[in-house]
Amino acid sequence: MKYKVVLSILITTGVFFVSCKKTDGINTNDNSSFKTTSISVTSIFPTQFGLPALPSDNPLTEEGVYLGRLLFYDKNLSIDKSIACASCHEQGKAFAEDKKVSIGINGLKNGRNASALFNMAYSRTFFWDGRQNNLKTLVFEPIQSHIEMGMNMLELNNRLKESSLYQMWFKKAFNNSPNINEMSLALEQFLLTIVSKDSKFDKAGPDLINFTASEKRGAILFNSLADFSTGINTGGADCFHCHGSVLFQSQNPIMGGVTNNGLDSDFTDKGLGAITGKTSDLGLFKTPSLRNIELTAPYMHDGRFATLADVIEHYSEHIKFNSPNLSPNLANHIDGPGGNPKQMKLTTQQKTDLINYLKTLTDNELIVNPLYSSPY
Amino acid sequence: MKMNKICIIASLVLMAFGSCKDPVDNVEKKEKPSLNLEFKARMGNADLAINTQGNIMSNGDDILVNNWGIIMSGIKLIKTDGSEVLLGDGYGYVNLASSIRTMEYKDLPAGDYKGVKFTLGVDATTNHADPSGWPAKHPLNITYTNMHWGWAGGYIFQAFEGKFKNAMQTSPVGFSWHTATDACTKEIVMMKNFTLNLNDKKNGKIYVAIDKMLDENVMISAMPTNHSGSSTELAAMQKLLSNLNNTYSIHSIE
Repeated sequence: MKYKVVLSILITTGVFFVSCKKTDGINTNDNSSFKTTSISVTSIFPTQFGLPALPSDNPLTEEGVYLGRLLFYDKNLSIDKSIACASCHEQGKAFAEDKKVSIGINGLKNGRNASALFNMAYSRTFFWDGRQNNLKTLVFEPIQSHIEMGMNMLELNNRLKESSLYQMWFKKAFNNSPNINEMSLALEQFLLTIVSKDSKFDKAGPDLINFTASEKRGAILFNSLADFSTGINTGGADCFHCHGSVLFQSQNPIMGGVTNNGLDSDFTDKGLGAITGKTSDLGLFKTPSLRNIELTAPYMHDGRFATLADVIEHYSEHIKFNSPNLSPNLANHIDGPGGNPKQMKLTTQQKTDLINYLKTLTDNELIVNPLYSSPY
Repeated sequence: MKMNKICIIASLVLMAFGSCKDPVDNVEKKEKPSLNLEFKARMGNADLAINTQGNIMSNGDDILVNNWGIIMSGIKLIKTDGSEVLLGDGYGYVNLASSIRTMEYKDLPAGDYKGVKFTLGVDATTNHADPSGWPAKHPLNITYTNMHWGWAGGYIFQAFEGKFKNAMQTSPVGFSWHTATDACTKEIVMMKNFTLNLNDKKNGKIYVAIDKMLDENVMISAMPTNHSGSSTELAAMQKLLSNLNNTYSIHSIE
């Protein structure tokens, strides 16, 4: 009897102790056995770029990235099952395309050239006009656009749910049945992992080891200011102001690297200005990375330049100085205080050297890396 | 009798553990103060209109600013007794032309303070060290700020870019003034008395006056591009640096 009383007191006391324990970390729902394989950030992103700020609400997992890859290459994401994300973003072209402007369902033309997709983990804005700053939101735009993939969300949700492949991979990645919200998370994960870091430039280091004489001259031109103090340009090509840093792209935080490069003085495509309605944003487009530029012809937001030589020619001879929102880094090409704007007028040799330097930014591993290839 | 003893002991045990809360939980917790420092570009008595022409300096230059990034080190609060409190690891980055203008600090020592100080730029060792490896969003992460010249080239301490007009140059001309190199660090001290009490969550506003930075001696139009390189560029940049203690002021901490 005594033992029973003591035992009951001890049990009662024990209950108190147990009830006093904090419940943090105790998972009481059915997800307790759900596990994904997290991806180490340092295994993907090179230290020489500095670590990127990844979305805190969508940690990278092997399952999520693979699901994103399945989705990226799946034509079922377009209404007529003819177009996948990869249709306009081809791995062999650094996830860009060789058409002037993208062709969507039913042969409909988009007004712009498809951007190259790599090193997006380091970007703050996306699309040529910089209107998006969030990859998981971005992915819905081309999928729903009536001139791109033309899909409606109800149909997409149904297609995902009916797929046994997606049933399996959504379960593995998110412990859930297929749904469009987690579809966007998976696509974001895959896109974030596409990293270009293995060009000749990356392997050369500061001493430009294994660079040819022409490539070295091109590097100097690229990183030198134009100098019009004598009336003609005796300096460099001044590329680095807008395409500087290891990423070779602008990160100007005010507009996420969106600027005007003097293509036009009257804007058919208003760029960021069409989004914001601001006069000061007219004709502003994202300054793309020059990594892999050899692979991503044609060039500019409308694909107007077929070759790198055409691009260099534009910057050398044809800047529209009367473009109202011209980049300050081009608008400072004047021949002294009170002077006039000057075209850089690079020599034929300088143009060749620049192109040779730009080709050192080609990452031949990116375009064959099986982690980015079609899983089908 | 024994039964009674057992009951009394059990009651005492239950009373001892009657409350699930730790003893300290019964006392109102006081948190150490936090302080946000927001930097605002100013022109005269108003906020500077970014990406807009019409900001007339005393030297006659009409300045449009579209990029104004600043790297700081050794950011400290100065106590009234003269001792200093390093904020975080001391590094900071703001871009006055963007929304990245506020630095947040928690768990600060409560007390009376008389100012804030920092150095524009970083010390020579940090400046020329391998810049890779800084965490995401750290002020010295090169792809976060885009304020580094690559490899051991060092940091840009202040990137000040835009366009100017004046009587001579009626069409806007671009300018790019990059404060850099070891010779161009500058300690900036701002004095203002304030108190941080326990539980305080205060916001400080630091004004950065463009018209004080660009006075008669600093004519952007006379040298649209200055990368702190040549002796002429360095001399012009030193004039700008000498204006910085008047450029920065603590407007309020409340």
